[in-house]
Amino acid sequence: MDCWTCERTALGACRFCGRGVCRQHAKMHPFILDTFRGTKHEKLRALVVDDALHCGVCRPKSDPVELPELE
Amino acid sequence: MEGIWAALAQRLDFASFVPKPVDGIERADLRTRNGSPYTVLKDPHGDGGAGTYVRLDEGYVELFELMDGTRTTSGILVEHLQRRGFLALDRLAMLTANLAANGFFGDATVDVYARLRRRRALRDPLVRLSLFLRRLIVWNVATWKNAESTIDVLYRFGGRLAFTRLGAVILVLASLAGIVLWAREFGSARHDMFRVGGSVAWGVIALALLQVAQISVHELGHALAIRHFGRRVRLLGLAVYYLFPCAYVDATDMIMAPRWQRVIVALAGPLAGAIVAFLAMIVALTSTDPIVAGIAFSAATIFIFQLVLNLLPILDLDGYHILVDVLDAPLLRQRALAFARARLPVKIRRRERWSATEILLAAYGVLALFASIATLAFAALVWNSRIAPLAAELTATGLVGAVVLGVILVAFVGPILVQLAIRGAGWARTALGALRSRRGRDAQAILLERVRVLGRVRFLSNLTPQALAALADHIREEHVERGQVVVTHGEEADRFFIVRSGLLETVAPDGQTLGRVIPGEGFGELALLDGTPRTATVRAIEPTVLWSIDRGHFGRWIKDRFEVAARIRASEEERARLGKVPFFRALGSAELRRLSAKLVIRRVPAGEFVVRAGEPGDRYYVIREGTAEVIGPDDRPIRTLGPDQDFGELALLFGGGRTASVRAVTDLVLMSLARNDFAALVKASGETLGGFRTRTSHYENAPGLGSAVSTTR
Repeated sequence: MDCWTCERTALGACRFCGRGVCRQHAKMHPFILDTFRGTKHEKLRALVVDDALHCGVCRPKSDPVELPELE
Repeated sequence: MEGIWAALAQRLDFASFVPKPVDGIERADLRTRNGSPYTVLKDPHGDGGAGTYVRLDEGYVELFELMDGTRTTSGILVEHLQRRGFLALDRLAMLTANLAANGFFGDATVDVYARLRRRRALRDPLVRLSLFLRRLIVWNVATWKNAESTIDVLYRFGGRLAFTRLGAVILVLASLAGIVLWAREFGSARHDMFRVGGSVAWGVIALALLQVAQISVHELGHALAIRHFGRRVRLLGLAVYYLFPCAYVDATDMIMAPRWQRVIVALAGPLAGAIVAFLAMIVALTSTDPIVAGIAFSAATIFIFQLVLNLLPILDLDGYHILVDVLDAPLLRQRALAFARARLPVKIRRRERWSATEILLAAYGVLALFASIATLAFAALVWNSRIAPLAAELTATGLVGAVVLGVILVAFVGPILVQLAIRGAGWARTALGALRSRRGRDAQAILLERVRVLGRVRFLSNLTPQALAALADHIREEHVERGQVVVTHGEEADRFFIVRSGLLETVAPDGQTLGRVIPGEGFGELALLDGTPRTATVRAIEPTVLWSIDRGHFGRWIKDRFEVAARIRASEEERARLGKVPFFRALGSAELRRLSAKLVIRRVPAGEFVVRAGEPGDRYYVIREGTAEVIGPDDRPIRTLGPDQDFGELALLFGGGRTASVRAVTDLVLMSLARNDFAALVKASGETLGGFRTRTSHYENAPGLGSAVSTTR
């Protein structure tokens, strides 16, 4: 697989969209693996990878989108 | 599931978004000093009930008015286009983003990733230090969003009197009287503000408490003025400001009010302090108790200091906000600084004309400069007259005295130290960032150089820089000493090499030297490609720098690049074919490799001449495909040439004109070598052209076709 940006050999795939990305065009982006409520903490907490591979092309939506159709 | 994807696509599609502001939005239509209209919107429910605000310039108001919940954004654009005659796409995008971010369409946008990034940034010790230092300036301990009732009570029970005409005149006169009385007493040096009943410790405690009271009175003045103009105190808070606890009010709601009301609200804070200073001076002058009189004088001093400090327009305090509102010049300080840094030296040097705005910015800069000098001079005066003698006295009393002195110094110098520390942390972060960026730039320069060198390798030429960069990314630099063996005959190939500098020689298994490898040349690519053992030993005969690419990366890179693999194999075939040509039969593999790298393919259609008699003989040809005929001076064919046969070889050695013509009988594919390239190659191999002639002298008498087409000597 090649890098989406420069078409060089890709070293990884974007965690968010799957595009190929080489070392030069690799960017870091936080990624939420899972969320949970702890026994002591009422607030929602997240298990996070803070430097997941990001292609820099796709734009992970930072604000959750309402989808009542899924209910 | 298609419905879900369609719904999701619709949610994410800006054009089909139907913006509908939440209910209850307040609106204030205002004008700037020069009469330009603007509008401020307020969502009173935003930020947990504290309210959120958005300022719209004239061009945005109509777009906002079209957001009535019946139109999509594309509908709004079309409507606006019909009304105004232009497409306001950018404006609409900015407006919707701004309103959404401030919760005007419902829940405020939550930037989850930005919050995660901030958490991540906290891992950096310098960021943590900066945050800690900023907390020393303003540490928001607690906020209260429903403070209106408290402010309302204070306003109704006395506060409102200050906003009647008579009340305002009395208070202003009292403030002025307080300043005069205080100045006279301060000059007389009768009171020692650092002592209460002779105790410095109590004096310091009293000053700290008075400072808390001063800030609270100041903020109360703002709050009462806000209430008077019918706006609300957005937040009532408790903070530690420059190491001192204080209460504060958030006056953002005044953004909905006209400029003159904002000026009065800004003035109300310092004025409230000045009134307290007047009352304190009355007590100081009339009290018979020296302790009460001393505390009262200290209070007056603290309140007068705050008055001056707050009205100084150089700090981001009330005086600055008053100036900004009076002049209607937002971001005055930042703009003045930017002007002084960038434009001022140029304008002075070129003696350009000054616009009104530039004069204003320069005047503010001059004012700030004088105010800063005056402040420093006053601080020095206070230090010499009050603090220095006290410091000497305290240090003489021992440890307790030193601690008290430390507290006083922290109070006076702490804010400056904190600011300097913040600057220092900022500079450190900038320097680290610059270092990282420089490393990045260096890496980029190295990559570009590698791409340039790779592009000169024959089988890699004509590839895009991007494709070469993919290979260049995996280059490893190796340094080899004189005599060191780089690859050994028969061993498994694990790397492909390019010579960056130095010199190597290839040696056959029997010890015979086959040739030299010079900078810019590569070796080992075919063995790597086909997985065959090394066919010769390569040894450095000078200290050499090599670039190597390992089998894994090379294999991955070349896997989908069939044309490059074919070119490598074709090069090998070409070298083999070239070695069979009589003219080059005595050449070593390295020389053949170098020669083949310079060969240029030429195609000649049937019937066309390749060379004509009398032309300058500057090229040598080997036929790869097709047949040609040699035509003598009398236009009669002398001989026919086929694949792997050559002509024009003596032109390489001696130059001169062609003695015969060569015409393509069928379509021809030729490999040609220019005389200049040939001479350069001979020179690069360390041999003279004369030596080469001697080594290839066997060819002159060899049977073949060269003589038929040979050039005149």
